[in-house]
Amino acid sequence: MPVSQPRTRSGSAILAAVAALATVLLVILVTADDPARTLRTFLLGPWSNRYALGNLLSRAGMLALTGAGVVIAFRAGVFNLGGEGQVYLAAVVSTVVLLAGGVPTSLGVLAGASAAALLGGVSGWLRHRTGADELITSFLLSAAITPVLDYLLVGPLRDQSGSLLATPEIPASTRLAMLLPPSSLSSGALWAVVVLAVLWVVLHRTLFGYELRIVGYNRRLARYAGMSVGLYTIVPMALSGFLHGLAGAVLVVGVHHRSIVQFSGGLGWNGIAVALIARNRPELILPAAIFFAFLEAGARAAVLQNQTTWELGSIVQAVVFLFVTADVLARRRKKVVSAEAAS
Amino acid sequence: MMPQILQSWALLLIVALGGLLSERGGILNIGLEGMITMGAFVAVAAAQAGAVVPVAALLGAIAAMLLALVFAQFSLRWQANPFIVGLAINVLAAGTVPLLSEIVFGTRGSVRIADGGIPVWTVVATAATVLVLVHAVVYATPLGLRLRIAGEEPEWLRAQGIGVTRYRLAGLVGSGLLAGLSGALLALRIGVYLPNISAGRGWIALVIVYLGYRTPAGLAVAALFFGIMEAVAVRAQSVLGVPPTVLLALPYVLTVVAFVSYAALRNRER
Repeated sequence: MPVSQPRTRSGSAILAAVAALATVLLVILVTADDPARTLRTFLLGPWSNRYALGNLLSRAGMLALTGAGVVIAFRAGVFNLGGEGQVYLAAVVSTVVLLAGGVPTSLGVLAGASAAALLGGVSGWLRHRTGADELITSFLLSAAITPVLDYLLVGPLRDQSGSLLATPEIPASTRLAMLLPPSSLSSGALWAVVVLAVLWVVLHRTLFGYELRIVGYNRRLARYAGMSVGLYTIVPMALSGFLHGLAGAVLVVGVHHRSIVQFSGGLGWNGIAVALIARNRPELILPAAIFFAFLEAGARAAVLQNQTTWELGSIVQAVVFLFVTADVLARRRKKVVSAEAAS
Repeated sequence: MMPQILQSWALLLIVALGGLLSERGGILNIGLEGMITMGAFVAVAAAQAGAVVPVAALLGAIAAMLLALVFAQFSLRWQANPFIVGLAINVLAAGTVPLLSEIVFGTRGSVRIADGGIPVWTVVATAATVLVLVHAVVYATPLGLRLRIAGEEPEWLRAQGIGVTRYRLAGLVGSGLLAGLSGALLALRIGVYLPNISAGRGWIALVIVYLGYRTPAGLAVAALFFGIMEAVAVRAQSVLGVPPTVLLALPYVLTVVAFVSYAALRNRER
């Protein structure tokens, strides 16, 4: 059961984005009492002031990191479905390390991201050594670690003095600089920009990236050409975990300054959506991440204080996943038999 | 403990047989998890509205089949990547079911059925019937033969002028019906719909498909392993005092261990 690399046609990416936008519009217009005003809030709210804009960019930065994590795996022809757990794990690990006190921010972040890299790397290693599909193992490992982290945050790691199911706050000295107070935009968003630049250079200007893309394109060809297919299975999965981990760490040192139960939810799945909308290209990740952050923030502004937002997020993801690799005109194009669709 | 094992075995076997149908047709159905949830919710909603058990179960199965049709429309007709479409089905169910629950019952929490659960033997008998049926269809009908060819030698089918798509569609529809049925029986058995009721069963089912060497009889054996594990896990909670939250991790851990061992074994054989 080889996993075929999900490919997005440019038309499909645009269609998926439009479909996502239309879904949000439809839902808020159906549920709103004053559609015109709600629509305005949705479209303009996220950009209207420093606070909203800062939060949007902060979210976009984290989505860009998870999106980049998904892209590097996709480009190597592997599929990291464990993003959710990796983000969460890194967040909790960096919180614990930083709570120990006297630890510099960088070390805490690195510890968290490394833990996530390990979690992702294990799936790559299992794929290489045993042939166990990394798509399934990465999901299962992530799903297994999530309740354990929940337990730690509700139990042993919980700040007993507060009513929130969360750890104590990390020391003020370890928090990132805020760029647009009082919004949550921190220097962590700049990391995302750096990461994307590095990712582009690595993929397109280095031998590692070149071979990685060839392995992603055709594993058999790569093996005949003498490339180490195992290396390009394990390392991209680990890097993917690492980038998801960075997002989780930023969530702690840049946004919440602590770990809260289930607080990283959605970053992993949305990262996949971002990567697909960006058609697996590093230079398109940031716009795709901003678009997604806008959808989330707009929906939240429009249906303020309403639980519907969370479900709306899931439905938008679903719409994107449905359309983003689809070829809606497949029937009308010349019937080229797609052998790949079969695999 | 025996009824618990049988119940877990039967419910897992039904979904896994569904997963088998689409897998043998050449499409791995990642969306089983969402289909189980949908089946469970619709069955409870139907039972609440006064439907008798068989009707409620049937409606649950049909609701999940509708998700399978969405899957088919995108992955077969519009040639979308089946893995991404499967994810879409899961998040779609995760998003729409709480919304529906809010609209229908005014709550996102658990929904109880008035007259309690159905007996275990109903669930077990259903699973046994489905097992026999799937075995018969896959091995003793032209439909089953072509389904298997659609999975293994699609080019051959095309060369014969027989479309592959309709057999894959049949496989997906079957997987939707069975996943929905399993979810429905689960909810009707425990007499309540709970958020996250599928709890990884869709993923475990996929692993059972491989552990069972992709044959119905093999699946029945593999499902027994997980049935026992699930029952032991339920016991461990009360006997060992393991925190229930951590216990939620256990099915995933066991599944990954089983899956990797199986893959390693297959790898060595090759």
